[in-house]
Amino acid sequence: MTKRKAGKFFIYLFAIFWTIMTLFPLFITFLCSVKDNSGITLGMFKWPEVFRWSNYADAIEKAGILRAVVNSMFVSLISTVFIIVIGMFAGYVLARKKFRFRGIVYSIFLIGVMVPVHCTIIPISGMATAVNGKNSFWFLILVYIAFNLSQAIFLFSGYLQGIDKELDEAAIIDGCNDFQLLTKILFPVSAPIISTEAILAFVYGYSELIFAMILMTDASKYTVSRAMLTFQGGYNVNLGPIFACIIITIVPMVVLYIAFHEKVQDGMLTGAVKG
Amino acid sequence: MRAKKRKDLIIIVMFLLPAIVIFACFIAYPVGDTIFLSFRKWKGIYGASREWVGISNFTKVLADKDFWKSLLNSFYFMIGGFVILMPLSFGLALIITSKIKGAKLMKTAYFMPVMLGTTAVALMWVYILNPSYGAVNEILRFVGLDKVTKDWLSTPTLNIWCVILVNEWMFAGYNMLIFAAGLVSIPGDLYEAAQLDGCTGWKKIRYISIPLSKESFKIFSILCVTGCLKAFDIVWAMTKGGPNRSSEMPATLLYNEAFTYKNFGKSSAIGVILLVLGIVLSLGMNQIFRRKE
Amino acid sequence: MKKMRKMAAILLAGMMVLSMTACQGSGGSTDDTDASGSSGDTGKSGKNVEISVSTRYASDNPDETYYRDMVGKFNEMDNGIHVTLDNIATESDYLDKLRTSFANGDTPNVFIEYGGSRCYDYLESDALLDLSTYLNEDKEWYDSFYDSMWGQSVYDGYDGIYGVPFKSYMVVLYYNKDLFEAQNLTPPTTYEEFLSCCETFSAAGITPLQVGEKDVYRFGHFNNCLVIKSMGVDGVDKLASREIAYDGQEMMNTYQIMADMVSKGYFGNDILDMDATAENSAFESGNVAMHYDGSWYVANNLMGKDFYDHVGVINFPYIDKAYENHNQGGSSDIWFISKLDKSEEEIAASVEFLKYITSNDYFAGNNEVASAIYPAEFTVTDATPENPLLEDINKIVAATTDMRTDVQNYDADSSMLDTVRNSLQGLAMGNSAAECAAQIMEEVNAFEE
Repeated sequence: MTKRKAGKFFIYLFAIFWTIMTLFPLFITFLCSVKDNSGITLGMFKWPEVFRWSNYADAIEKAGILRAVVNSMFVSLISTVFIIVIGMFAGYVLARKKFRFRGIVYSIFLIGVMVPVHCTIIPISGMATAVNGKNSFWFLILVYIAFNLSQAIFLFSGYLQGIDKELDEAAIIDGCNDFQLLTKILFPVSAPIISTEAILAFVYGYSELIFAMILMTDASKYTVSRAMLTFQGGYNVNLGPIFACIIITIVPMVVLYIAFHEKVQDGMLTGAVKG
Repeated sequence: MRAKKRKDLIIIVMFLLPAIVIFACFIAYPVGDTIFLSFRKWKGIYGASREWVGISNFTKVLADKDFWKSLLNSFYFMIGGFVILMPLSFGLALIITSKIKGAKLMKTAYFMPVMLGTTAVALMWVYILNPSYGAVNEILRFVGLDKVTKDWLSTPTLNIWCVILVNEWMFAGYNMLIFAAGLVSIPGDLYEAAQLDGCTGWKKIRYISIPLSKESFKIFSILCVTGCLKAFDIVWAMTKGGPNRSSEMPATLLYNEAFTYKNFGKSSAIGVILLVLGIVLSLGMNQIFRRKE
Repeated sequence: MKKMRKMAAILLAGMMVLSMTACQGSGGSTDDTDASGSSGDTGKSGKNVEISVSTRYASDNPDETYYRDMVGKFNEMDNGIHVTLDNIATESDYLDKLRTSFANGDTPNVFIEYGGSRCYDYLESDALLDLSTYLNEDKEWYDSFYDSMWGQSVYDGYDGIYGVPFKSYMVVLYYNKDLFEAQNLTPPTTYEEFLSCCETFSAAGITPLQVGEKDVYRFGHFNNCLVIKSMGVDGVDKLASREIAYDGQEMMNTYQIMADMVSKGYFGNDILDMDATAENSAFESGNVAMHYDGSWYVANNLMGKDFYDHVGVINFPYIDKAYENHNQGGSSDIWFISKLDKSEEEIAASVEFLKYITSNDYFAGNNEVASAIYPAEFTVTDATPENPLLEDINKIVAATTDMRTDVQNYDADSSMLDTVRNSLQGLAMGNSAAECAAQIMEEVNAFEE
């Protein structure tokens, strides 16, 4: 019994230690967001001598970070919805249907998590020019969907494979077709994995830089990482406002994260799905 | 029966179609383009000739000792991924899905580094690892381990391991989510049954949680191997591949060849090699998991 | 298994054809709409040309704000030209986008690059507009620039001038007056004096220089200075033509000087763990005696008056007296006009924009908000604020007889700049001069193969 208690104690200790390890940077980011360059480079962990709230004003006025947050939210939320829906449909087929090219289709999707992003910039940007997709949120959303689809399909098909097939059979006896089975039964049951992938896809879209930079030139359509570049000049970087931007942009992310992850925990209640 | 089969086929095609169309445009086409360019010499200018050079791009890449060094570095990344990141993320997933107090705060904290983004994280760790005033060396000096203090990010091999550790620290929360999604779907009555059989604590994890998370481990393995091969952001932000090219990764070389030196053929050849390696390793991974079944 | 592989190939090919035709199909249709759209515009306002301009001037520094304001004014003028800006401040991101646009043929009409060998590939593919006819037609425009500023815009084997200088710089040595006074030292003019200053400071526990070599250009610039101050500008040209070898005695000396300085700690502590931003902060904190940097360091009025009372500036110390007035400098930012897929109207509008943005008025106005050194002559207005450090730099510029920018900018192999900088970074890790030379030669030999 004492052994168990000791084990529990160490688990708690580690859990708290890791919480501090990961929350600490948030605290430092905040401190840096009210300092100037020399305050950051010469004493990152020191308490600021003067609180430069003007960094926040700079972030909002010069970088237009609030507008960028709205843009990023729009792009990442829409792409997340599509990733979930398209990914679930494909994942369902791969998990539930037997067909000849199943293995090949699966392997092809595998390429999606492998291709180095710098190989794709030029062809995708060329495509954007061809279809007039530069400065279009929709094209950017399509790109984000593409780059998250593989991971989503893996997660979904893996999860669906774990769900008892009796559930399907019962539904089919009740007269459900594939579409109804997927949307009415399997979607709710898959809440944990859907919420998880939603978080991952959202964070990706929200903070992606390369495509947002290559494809968007219109300043009113900047997303957050692109807007933050405002303070990185050639010969002088203005670090304070960059950290201020990070603090501003992280708020909606944290809120959504907590909301989504509640859904993951809800999965515990649905229970009895793993066969 | 045949009618049902045909109906099934229609469903299969309809359900896969959106994914395949998007995939064909944004992944398959760029990959095809990369393969096409890897056999050619091209300076990256529209309309300029893309001269066929056979496999010379590949021989050049394979003869480059920087490339082999970068592969070794990404191999270190993989070791770190399986030895450190996997148990760590799985452990964190167990913690946040257990009935521990404060789980909500913890799971938010654990994911915080990913949300903060590479810029902030890298800048901070570079500072922490600074040899003269960084926290790591300060602590070592404080406990009297002066001899162990190092110039962490400037010593070859040591620096890539520092980057790897920071990477694991950052992405532990990310992979925790993947494991957690698998864990919450394990039916509670399995644990209850186990408890009745006298199975507690570690044994519950060993005989229920781990075997039933097999699918999560498989996905983690594939994402880890491929992610390590193409790792770029964290290395670029922390060391830029330096000093003196000691922390170069295949992806940083690929980037430099294309966007700094404008050798798009050679850069594509690196891309193709990475893809082939990725496919081989993932298929190998699949085999390992299949054998365990 | 074999059968499956075959099927995979067919499927993949099928998808690719599908996607390509899909893209091309829709591409064609958008081109049509574009054409009709622009003809509609022409109907309304006679001539109406849209040109895109890419630069790195995105920050809130006064000179960059001025640039964007002036482009705004250009757009308000009734000249039928509308300029759209795309500014990306970070160098790697800017280059990513520029390279991508060249690869896809949708380049900006006008863009900033650094000239020299970095733009050679564009020239070779006939993507850059030869500006010499326009410069000849407008002699006043051409003559306003200093002759020494055209070096990065002309190429061996190609007639013509391909770029117009916009910004220029010179690498000089800044020093902390207080620390020099406290040690009873006078600012050095020769390299021996410089080294003895370093020694004195070092002995007194003061960091002579603090270099942020995490940014590889820092040692790169130092080596450039050593090359130019020991072999002159001829040395630079001979290095480019390989008459002087990167592992020859002359170059070995420059590596050796740096290796010695590293081991004596003259470049400061943790040089590999600091970047240029941290380097500047260290010098500004007042505990570092000297700081070699470009004139851009004081060009923007960012420092405040207090700074000028404590900091002085001198020419970089010479190694060979003959090259006392040969310096590292030249045009840093250069305008280029792309002719890839561009109409005559667009090219004419681009030239008009260039004339505007490099005019006397532009430079004079720029000088009022952010004094700098300029590639062109212009009349300084009364509204120009005092900047004593910059005046001193201008004296150094005036005394300069010849200059070169980064030594590897003149090299036929455009990756040399990176190679040399990375190898020099090895010196900071404790590599010997011989190791440094060997690394560079490996690349040289690989290129010549």
